[in-house]
Amino acid sequence: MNQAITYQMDSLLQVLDFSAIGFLLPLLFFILFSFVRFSEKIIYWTAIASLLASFGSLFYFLKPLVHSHQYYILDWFTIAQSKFQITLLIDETCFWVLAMIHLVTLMVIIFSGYYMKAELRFEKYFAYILFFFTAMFGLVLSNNLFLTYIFWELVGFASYALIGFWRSKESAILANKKAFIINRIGDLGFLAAIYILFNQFHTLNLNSIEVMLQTAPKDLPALYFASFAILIAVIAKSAQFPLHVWLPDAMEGPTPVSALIHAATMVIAGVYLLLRITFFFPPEALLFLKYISIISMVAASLFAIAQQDIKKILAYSTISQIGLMLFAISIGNQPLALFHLLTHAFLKAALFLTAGVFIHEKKSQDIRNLTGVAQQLPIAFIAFSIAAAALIGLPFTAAYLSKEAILFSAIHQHGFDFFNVMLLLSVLLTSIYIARIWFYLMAKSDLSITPQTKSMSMNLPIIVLAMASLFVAFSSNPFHLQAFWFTMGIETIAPIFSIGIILLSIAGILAVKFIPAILLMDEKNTIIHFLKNGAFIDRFYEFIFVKPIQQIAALLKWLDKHIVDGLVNGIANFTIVIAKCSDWFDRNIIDGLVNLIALIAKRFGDIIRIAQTGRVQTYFLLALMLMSIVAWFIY
Amino acid sequence: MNNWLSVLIFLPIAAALILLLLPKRASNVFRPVTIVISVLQTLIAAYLYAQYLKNPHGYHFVERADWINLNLGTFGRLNIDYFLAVDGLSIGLLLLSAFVMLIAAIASNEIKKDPKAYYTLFLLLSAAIMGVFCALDFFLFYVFYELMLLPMYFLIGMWGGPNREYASIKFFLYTLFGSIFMLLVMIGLYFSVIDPVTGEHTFNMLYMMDAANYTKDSYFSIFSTDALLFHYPVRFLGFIVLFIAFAIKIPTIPLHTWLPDAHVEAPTPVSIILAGVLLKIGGYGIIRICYGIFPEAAIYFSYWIGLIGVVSILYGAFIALASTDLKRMIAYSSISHMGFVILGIASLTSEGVNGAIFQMISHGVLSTMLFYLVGVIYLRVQDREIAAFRGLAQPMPRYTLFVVIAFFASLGLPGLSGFIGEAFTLIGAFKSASVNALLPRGFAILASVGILIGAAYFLWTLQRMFFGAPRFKGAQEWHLKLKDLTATEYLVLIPLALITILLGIFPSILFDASNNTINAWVHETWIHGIANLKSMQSLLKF
Repeated sequence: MNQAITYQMDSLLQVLDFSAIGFLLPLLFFILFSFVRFSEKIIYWTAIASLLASFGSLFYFLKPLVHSHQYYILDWFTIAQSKFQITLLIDETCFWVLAMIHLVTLMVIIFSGYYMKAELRFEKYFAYILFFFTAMFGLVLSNNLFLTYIFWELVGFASYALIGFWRSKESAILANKKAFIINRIGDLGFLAAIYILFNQFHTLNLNSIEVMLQTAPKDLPALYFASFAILIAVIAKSAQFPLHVWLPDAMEGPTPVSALIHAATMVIAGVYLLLRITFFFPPEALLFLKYISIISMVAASLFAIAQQDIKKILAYSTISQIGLMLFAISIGNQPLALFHLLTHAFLKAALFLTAGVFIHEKKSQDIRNLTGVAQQLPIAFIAFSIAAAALIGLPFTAAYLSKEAILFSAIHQHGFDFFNVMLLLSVLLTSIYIARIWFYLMAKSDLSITPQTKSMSMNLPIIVLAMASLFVAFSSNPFHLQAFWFTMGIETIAPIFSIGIILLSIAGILAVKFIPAILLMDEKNTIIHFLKNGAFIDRFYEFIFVKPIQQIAALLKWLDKHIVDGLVNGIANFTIVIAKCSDWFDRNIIDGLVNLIALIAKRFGDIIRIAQTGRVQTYFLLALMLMSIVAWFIY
Repeated sequence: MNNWLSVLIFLPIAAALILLLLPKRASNVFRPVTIVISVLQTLIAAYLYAQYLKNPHGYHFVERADWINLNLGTFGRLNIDYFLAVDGLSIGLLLLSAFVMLIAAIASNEIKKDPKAYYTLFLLLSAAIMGVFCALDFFLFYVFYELMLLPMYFLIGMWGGPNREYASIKFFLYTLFGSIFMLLVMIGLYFSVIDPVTGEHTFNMLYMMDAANYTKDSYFSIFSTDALLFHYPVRFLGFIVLFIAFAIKIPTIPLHTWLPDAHVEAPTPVSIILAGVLLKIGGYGIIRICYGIFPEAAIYFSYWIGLIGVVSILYGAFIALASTDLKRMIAYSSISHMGFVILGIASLTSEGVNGAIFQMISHGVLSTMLFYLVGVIYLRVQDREIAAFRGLAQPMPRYTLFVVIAFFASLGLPGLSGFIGEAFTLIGAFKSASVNALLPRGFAILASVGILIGAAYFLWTLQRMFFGAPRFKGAQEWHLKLKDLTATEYLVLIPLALITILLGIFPSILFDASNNTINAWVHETWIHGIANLKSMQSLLKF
């Protein structure tokens, strides 16, 4: 907390300038588009212009500060004695991730002009995209867990809004609810980590925690719990097993959204957070992460193979590739995770956008209906092929460098243990599922379609992103990490090892080519049926969580109405009964007693009245009798 | 001028008197007069808030005068002061109340029946509410507290829905049940506490908070050696009784069943006042009176109080999930959200209690918005069954926008006010275990599950009612009736939405006012509570 922050005032101003352009400008347009109606053209070009401005300011203001690795702190509010601060960290990691987010968002916005043309609520779509951009922007810059949590949820909200963009589409509005609620489970983990860390360190600034840990014992139980809690958040946000179930459903949103949020940016937030936070993770947490990532990698690749929907294949592929990044973190190789995060973002965005072109032109998401694309949409097809090659990790692509480096680093450290064998298996499976799509696209089609549009807004983004998937985007040498952009201690790759991996991938491709059953994936097969439905994990959750919770809710509602409120009404009714009883008692017993006494008096009076005859003789006689009785008593 | 608080209280009373003098046929004057008065109150409250922020320590705007001074013969003298002041705890709630009353006054345009009576009662209620938050003399507090009950009873009972008589009498009896016991404790305290200056008995709450002011042999004295009732220290019973009185107001499980009925039957503006202001008096009373006067009992029972908070959070959330009536769902979500207030207070940490106050104010704004939004569709089609609607977003997109803001703010989306309140009550509840060992850590974790269920019922409702292809119970007829927002409705909803966003982004607006007061309050409650507890345990041996 008391760490001296030394930076020049003008560099703070630079950061603020950058934030104003990169953060507030899109936010302003988001608000504007949400409330005021503009023509499609104005919205489209404004969105592009604000992204370009932000991109420019990223290089103009932020690039010079990158190597200083500095924290910028602004006071936000104070509660008790703890200050909550807006803490930003500017370093290489943040710069590269920001650059990737800018490029992908820009390309997706350009592409959306083609894909979402003449869509109802066009302006809302761009408003949401800009909102998402600002939230992601904040998430990357933040170095305070409280602030990170805020943006962490806000990107989730943007994802909710965009998955459910077509809000009269039933499957879409179920999918976005599911995505938000499952992410909420992760958020609880994040919140728990916040409680724990704040309780321990009285601050949520990561730099302050790091400084304090230099003097504190490393094996604090708080750190142990906090790291596991954070991992829950990471698993949900980055769609890892067993909380991955929302991502395939999220494909109900518009395809450019899938490219931006559910492939390149939001889902990697978990990886990014871990890059920032693993400094306090105990080895057990990293081992847990290793298990999670390897299960996700293999299971998602298997599920991907059995799908027929191109977007679902790509969604499972994303789960699997994020698993690879997390695997890199779990073996302690953070720079490689970051590297793969960047290469994967471009190639997956390219895959999704080209898939968007196919879907848009062919009006189908089923790969069996996407035949003939190679002839009909050659540019998109070539872009797809480049990105697919990158996904497999074939030479001359950027992902070749990152993927091989992770594999090499893993096997170099631990040899061929269980994890690494699984890792190689997932490499094989990856080439199979992506080759399946590719062979369908290559196949001849009887139906000839004439592509409706050949606009720049369709082709430019896919060309740019396909280019970014090539090695030149990261290194001047296609086989060697002689990075001219990237300098973070990445090991070189042994050529023999590399050839082995390439052969493994090619084996996968050939298997698809020569074994028709793999290409076909007939669902009548039980195993394929099982895989296609994602191992029925959804139905399991429905059975284990959703239904019981609804039943508990219904039971409590019944209890509340009949027992709790019943008791209250019972007391009220009991009081009324008591009141009625006492009323009866009052009227019949108390009042009755009074009346009885009156009655007795009356009867007595009646009897006495007989004597009141009014005759003097009778009175005289009575008096004489009385006197004689008295006299008899006396004597 | 230093009697702004009196102005705040007596302005509506004066206006109510004027309304009473007006003829019934002047029906179009009543609402504008009420709105003008409410605007004035809001401006005054905002001015006071700004003044308070200049020096946010201690009590401000103090007004003190003798009110009732009766010679009771052998009982001595009855001294009741007119004692008003606000501190960081009440100033925010005062501003919230003034603002919510303004919104309720604007939202009263749906009231057509007997406007004269309605607005007179409305203004009377407004005065009583202001008084409750300002009074520092227990008797005066009690007068205002009871004064609230009467107009509220008639507002529900006369302008409510079909089952209004049941709901209003239920509300009345529940509250009365609590306040009768409060009266007993209040009188007991009066005869226990001595004004250190004059040496006479006093209702002054600030004196009641200091153990040194109790006469040694009185029942409520901590130095008493025989103050046991049913083998329990009398002070504990006093605390429990007061806590029940305020817990009914909040309301907590299991004293909550009046709330859904009252909400379902009450007209929209009355629902707004009920959820926006009246529930907060429960939380305020617990902090100021229960914890202030009986700190040792508060510490002694904090585990149970925290548990009540957690159970309220979860129970309310589950029932909201199962509710089929939109208004009932929101009523139960209120119970759930007020549970965070209880939990935050029980933690006795600065984070928790600051969070509780923030949560109260945030919930005041959000529940106002939610109940108003329910009123919007009820006014159009006289139905609010969730299942009767589907795809409302299509005929009413702007309305849906505000619903989304209100729902997401309520389910704790960061950047909106609900999040800050929930987050800090939970941070406080978690911290409690390592600072004062009052609450187990599991409470914070369990309560967090409430946030998850909160997301579930709000999103499920959004999905069922607002999204999907439009399909309404009333078919074509409803399509015509379900028009988007009117100008008045914008006038109500836009400020509410802006405040939610503003508080979510700049929580210091509230924390700056409450933080110093609450830090001192937490410190004193803890120090006094522990000291009292030790003394009582050694003297009473319970």
